[in-house]
Amino acid sequence: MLAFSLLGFVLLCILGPLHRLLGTEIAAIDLALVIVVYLATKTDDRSVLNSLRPAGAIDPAIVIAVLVIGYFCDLLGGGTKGLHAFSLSAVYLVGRLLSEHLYLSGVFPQIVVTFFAAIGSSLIVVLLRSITGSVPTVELMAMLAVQALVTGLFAPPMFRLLNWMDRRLAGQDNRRGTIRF
Amino acid sequence: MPLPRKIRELLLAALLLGLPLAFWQANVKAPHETNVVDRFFLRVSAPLQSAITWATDGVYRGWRRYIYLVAVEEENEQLRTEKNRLLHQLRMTKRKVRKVQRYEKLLAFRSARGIQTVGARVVARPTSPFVRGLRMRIDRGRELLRAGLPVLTADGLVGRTGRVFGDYADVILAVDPKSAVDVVVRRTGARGVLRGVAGTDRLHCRIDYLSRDEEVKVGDLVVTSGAAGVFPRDLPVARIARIAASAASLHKRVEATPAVEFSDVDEVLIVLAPPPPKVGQINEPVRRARGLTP
Repeated sequence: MLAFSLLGFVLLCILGPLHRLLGTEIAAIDLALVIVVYLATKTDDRSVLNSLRPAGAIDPAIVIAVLVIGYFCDLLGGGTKGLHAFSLSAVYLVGRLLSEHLYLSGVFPQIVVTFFAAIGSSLIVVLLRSITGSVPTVELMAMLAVQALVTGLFAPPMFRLLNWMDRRLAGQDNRRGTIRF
Repeated sequence: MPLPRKIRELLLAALLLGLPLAFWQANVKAPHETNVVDRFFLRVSAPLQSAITWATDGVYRGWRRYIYLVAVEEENEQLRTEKNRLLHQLRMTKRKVRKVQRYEKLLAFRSARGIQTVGARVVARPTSPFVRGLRMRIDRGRELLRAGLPVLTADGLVGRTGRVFGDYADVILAVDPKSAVDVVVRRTGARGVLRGVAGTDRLHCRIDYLSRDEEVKVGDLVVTSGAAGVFPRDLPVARIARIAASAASLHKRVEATPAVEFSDVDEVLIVLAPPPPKVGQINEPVRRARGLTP
């Protein structure tokens, strides 16, 4: 799980400046969300994740990873601490509950599921912020929709990368006969 | 005894949602509204946050220093332009400071001398000591000047006005072969006449009629005697550069270098009316040098 957390941290670090460089902050990709969706929905037997848990179960290591990735998001995003950690945790739990019923082997399903996960995550963030008095605007909602769409479109290559990493880690674990965190 | 799977997962889900929510609440509250739990969360998270911020800053620093260099070239160009502009400004300021210092020197000189002068700016001059240009042109003309007026700087005698036309006048330098200035050696009071030498490579002069019995040495300052009534007395004119005595002559052959660096002169004073010398003071430099005055 440390590998997934570190990957999330590095990608978050790189992506912020990259968006500023390209001037694409309005359509920023939520990579942390993609990682969390992957962690929540992965059911492949050859995955290192599934060596840690029975199908549909919540694994403590992944819970920590999700919390850490959410915390990174909050720190690097400059918002209130705990906001993204909470929304990503919620996405993870919902994803975990639905993981046995979701079909994610194709590109299109991956896009759709990630899109809805991004919308859900954004709605939680907006809801929590509105509690503290920050009124959401139409522009903000439109921007979140665009970001969710871009995140959804970016999900398939990211899933492939995570899958590749997952298999490499699973191979190492099989060779060593131990579970790596 | 291990917990049943259902309960364990419920606890994990509660932890997953509760921990960030509590953390968020602790961060949202105003400092005076926080309770013990909030303060605990903030205290626990502070070192972690500091470590992560340090790591993030490291990544960003590396990013900005080694990867994100798109604007650096443009910024360098801007800074170079700015540097050049400031250097130019500095040069101009230094020039102005030098100008003010020259003016101050000239004003102090004029006040000390108590002579009636008018200032002028040099508009053309010999640009190099290796070029024989024996005329200077100043921006004062007929309105104030006439031919033959002494021209000087705070360093000493420059020459006298020559042709005056319109708003300009030519200055015949003291080193011009046509020029003759009655001088004395300030240290000894030895008298002579300073004339320009028609050389081709430098501005220098000689002192005629300096008696072979007079004791002078290289480096002695030569000043105007004031005797002819043309130049105010005691103005530095030159320094003795070479002395040659001939047994067959009554006078020494003395070469001198001008006290004023003509290529550096930008402003001059033209003496309109020198103060009339008091009786008995006409040859004061001579008398003083010979110990005749206290």
